[in-house]
Amino acid sequence: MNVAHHFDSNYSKLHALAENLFRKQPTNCTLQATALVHEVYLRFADLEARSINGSEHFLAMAATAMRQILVDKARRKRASKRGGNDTPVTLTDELVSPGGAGTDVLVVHDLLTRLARLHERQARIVEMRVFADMTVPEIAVVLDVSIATIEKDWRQARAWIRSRVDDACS
Amino acid sequence: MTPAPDDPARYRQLMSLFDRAIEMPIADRPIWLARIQSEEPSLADELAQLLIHDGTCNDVFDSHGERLEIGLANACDVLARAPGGNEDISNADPLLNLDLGGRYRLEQRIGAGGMGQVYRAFDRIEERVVAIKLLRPELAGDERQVERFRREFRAVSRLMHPGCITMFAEGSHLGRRYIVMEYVHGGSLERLSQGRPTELLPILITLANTLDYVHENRILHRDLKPANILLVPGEPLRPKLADFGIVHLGDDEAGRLTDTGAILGSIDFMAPEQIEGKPLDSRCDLYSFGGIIYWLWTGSPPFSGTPLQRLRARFESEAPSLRIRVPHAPPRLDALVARLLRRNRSERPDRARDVARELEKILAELHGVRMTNFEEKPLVVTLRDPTSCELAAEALLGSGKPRDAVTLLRSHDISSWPVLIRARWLRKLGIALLRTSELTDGLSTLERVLTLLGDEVPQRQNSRRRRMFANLSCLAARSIFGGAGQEAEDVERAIIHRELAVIHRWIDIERAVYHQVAFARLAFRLNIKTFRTEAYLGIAFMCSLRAWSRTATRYYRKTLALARETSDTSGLVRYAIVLGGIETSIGHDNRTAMAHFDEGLRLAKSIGDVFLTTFASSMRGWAATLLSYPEQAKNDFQRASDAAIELDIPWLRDDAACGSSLVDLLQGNFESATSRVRSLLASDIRLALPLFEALPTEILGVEALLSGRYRDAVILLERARTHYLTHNLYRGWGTFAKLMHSEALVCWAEEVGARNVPDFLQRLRANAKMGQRMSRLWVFRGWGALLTGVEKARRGNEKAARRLFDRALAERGPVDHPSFMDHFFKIRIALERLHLGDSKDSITRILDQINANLEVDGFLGIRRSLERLRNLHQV
Repeated sequence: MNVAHHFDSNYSKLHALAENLFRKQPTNCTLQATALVHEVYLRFADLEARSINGSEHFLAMAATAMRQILVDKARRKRASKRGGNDTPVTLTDELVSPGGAGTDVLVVHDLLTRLARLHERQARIVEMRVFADMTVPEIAVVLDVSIATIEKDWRQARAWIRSRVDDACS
Repeated sequence: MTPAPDDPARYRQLMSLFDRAIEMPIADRPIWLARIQSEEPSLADELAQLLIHDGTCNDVFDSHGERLEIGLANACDVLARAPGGNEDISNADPLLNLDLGGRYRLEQRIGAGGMGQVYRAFDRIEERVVAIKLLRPELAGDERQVERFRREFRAVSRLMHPGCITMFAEGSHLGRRYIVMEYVHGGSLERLSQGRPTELLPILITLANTLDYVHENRILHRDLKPANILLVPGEPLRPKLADFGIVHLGDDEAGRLTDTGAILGSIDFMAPEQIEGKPLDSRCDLYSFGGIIYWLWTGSPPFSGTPLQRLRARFESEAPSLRIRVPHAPPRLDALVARLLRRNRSERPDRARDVARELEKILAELHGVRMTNFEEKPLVVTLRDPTSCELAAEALLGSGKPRDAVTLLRSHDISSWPVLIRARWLRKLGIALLRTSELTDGLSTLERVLTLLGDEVPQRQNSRRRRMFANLSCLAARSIFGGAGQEAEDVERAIIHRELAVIHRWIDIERAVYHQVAFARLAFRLNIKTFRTEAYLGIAFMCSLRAWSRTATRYYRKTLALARETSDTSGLVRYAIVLGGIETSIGHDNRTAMAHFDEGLRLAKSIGDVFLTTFASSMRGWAATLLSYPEQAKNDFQRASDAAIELDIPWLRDDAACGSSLVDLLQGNFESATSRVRSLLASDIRLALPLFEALPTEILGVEALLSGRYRDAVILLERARTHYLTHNLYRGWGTFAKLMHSEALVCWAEEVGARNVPDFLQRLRANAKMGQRMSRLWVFRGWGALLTGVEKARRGNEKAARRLFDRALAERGPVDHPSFMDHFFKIRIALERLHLGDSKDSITRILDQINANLEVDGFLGIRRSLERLRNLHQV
């Protein structure tokens, strides 16, 4: 199975994911989501020759790609509009939650980078949960550890990141 | 709050405190936090922050999917408990097709009870149908219930008995706990109500024996009823004990989680003391067992009326007689049921074993009537004289009719005989049983004889392994001081230890060594020549397994010298076979090994012992596989398998099946290989002999490797390896699994990039270390250097890698008849050299040559894998 095949079989899932990330956008939510999915595809294009191990693995890689794309985008925007300062950002740069409150992509990105230094696997887990909306069992397959471990890691990492997000925003 | 320094060690410490905090009741947390505040002030604030942010709070870190799934699951449960709605809902069950744990697809709900629902599911990794029990979500918050649920798994997964359902795994999915177990599709005992006694009695006998085994393991079932006894389809039907919902560990007071308050179990089959909440013992299960027999014959439970009346009746009066309801029921059965259903438990039988024996007698009486009519087995009926019976049994065993020998030996009540005669009788019964499908019974019979003779039967203990092996070589060295005198009891003991040592080579190598030591000790003391020869031989064989080639060679020379003096032909067959085996693993000459096997086979045929001939064929098959004479191997396995089927010895048949599958794989007949081992994995033999779980898994792993599914291969081979280790199986098999595991790992890394293979270098290193240890065995020579070289190359140390590859080649040396191991070896070295930057042309030439050789040798399976690897590396 090559990348294109994985893309085809996971397209609707990826699109739903991307749409979720942009849900709060007033008008062009679908367009943005489509653009993001396509950008993910471009990032994958150079992997064409190698096959990917199952759709869980594909989604995990898509999660990393989405994170990078969103972070790059947020950085570029900030650099051009505001000369790089840290004032609140527009909705496009926020990860939108079901409860409605948004979280800054860059804040999450920075925290994930820090977390990776403290506990690399936990950072990967958060990435897969938040950016690819993967379920715990799916992640367990990708990382090849037990579900119980993933659940424990996820609970720890989530509490840590939330406490840091609050710090960063207050 | 100031941000804490990013220190991984500190993070781990913080998180372990966090884990402890979330495990304790919320009410206890403040006091505990205050203590942390005084002990670890730097962590306390942060910990408090973490606890505030634990749980759901509707932000981006709560997955949408997760909440949806939990919501659906709850809704489904509420509906399922609505009265009368069960059928309609199971069609629209939202849990259907859910991928549990990323691995099990729920396919159909097959039952629901107080604790949760049971589904039929498909295991994507093992590719088999399993049953999954899900704990009710509303019980998930109740620690006692969760603990009880997990206890069931822990307790039952300890049991290894074909009559108990097998537990595969447990886990939790989105907070719901589940247990994965064997799927049995023949319905339950409920469908056999008022069936034919000749069909019911064998089922009940198996059931009673199973129950005895369960009780021996200090577990009570406490919820025996027809619905909890599943049936494996086939002729005859075999029962499996399921739903140990309320097991408890017999003497563990703290473990009794079900006896406060709630009455569990189905009231119709419950013993009075169970309803009263008294401490229980095995006799409560026996009461239920009596109830089951009653129900099977009459179609209704012993007491009738409203639930309350039924409940009270068992305290107020004894159960009505079976023959009042069913006048034609055997009087002995009526008496047994009455004893089982006694109000006062001290009047019931103590042990399920006694119940099984009694049922056997009832069955024999039923058959006795029929036998005089049809003369099915006149031998059993006529031979009432013990001596002729014993001789006849021996003759039956020698001519390959162990099952008849068993029937004959069991037809006598030996309980009042002198110990020594009883021991001899049981020993013969045990050996006969070992050659039938009742392997477990055979083992326990032989162990019983040992206890009878005052020998201790060892418990499993890993740490003793080294010391026991050391014992082996010391013993042999001291053998010259062997004393004189023969005591009948010692001879008896020696024979049993010898048999157990042989059979345990398939089951638990540690136990095999233990019995070998005990046998050698007795053999030297008794100073019987044939025994001494066998003792030397056994020690030599064990040492060869351990790759102590020098010690092994020394003892095997002694064996040879002694063997020539004896005229014990069946002994000689064994020597020849074992010598062949030793020569295969540590020798240097293929022809010598094969010659030994041929000699063994010839001798076995000359004395006409079908069992030994079959055994020798199978062993020669394995040696031929390892030494790459595939056609010979196939013939041998075919012959062994045919004979084993005729003799009805399942383990020998399955051993041959595994062997042929491996040969098939190497030759490229993937489908026949996998279908054969899959059916093995679905059968019951793996319960009695764990080897038959490990070996098929390993073969599936090799298949995945050869077909280019590298990740699957890694997983399967790892599982096989773990199996070999945890069950103390012969390490040679484990070694092959590990070598193939390394190969699969490296291929996987090549395919997806080393970074994407978890712990790639560490895993490679562990394998390399093991490879170095096992390189002492002739068949595995050079692999240690090769794997270490691969590891060095992947760490970027090119010079060391090249040096190691040269050494590996030198160790392997030139071979005139390359085996499949040699091919794997050469392919790996060539690909590694390519990796290190050797010119593509030279590597292409080498690989072309290997390709041509593979074609000539008929290893089309390896050739297919080579083609795939060449595509991957573009050479």
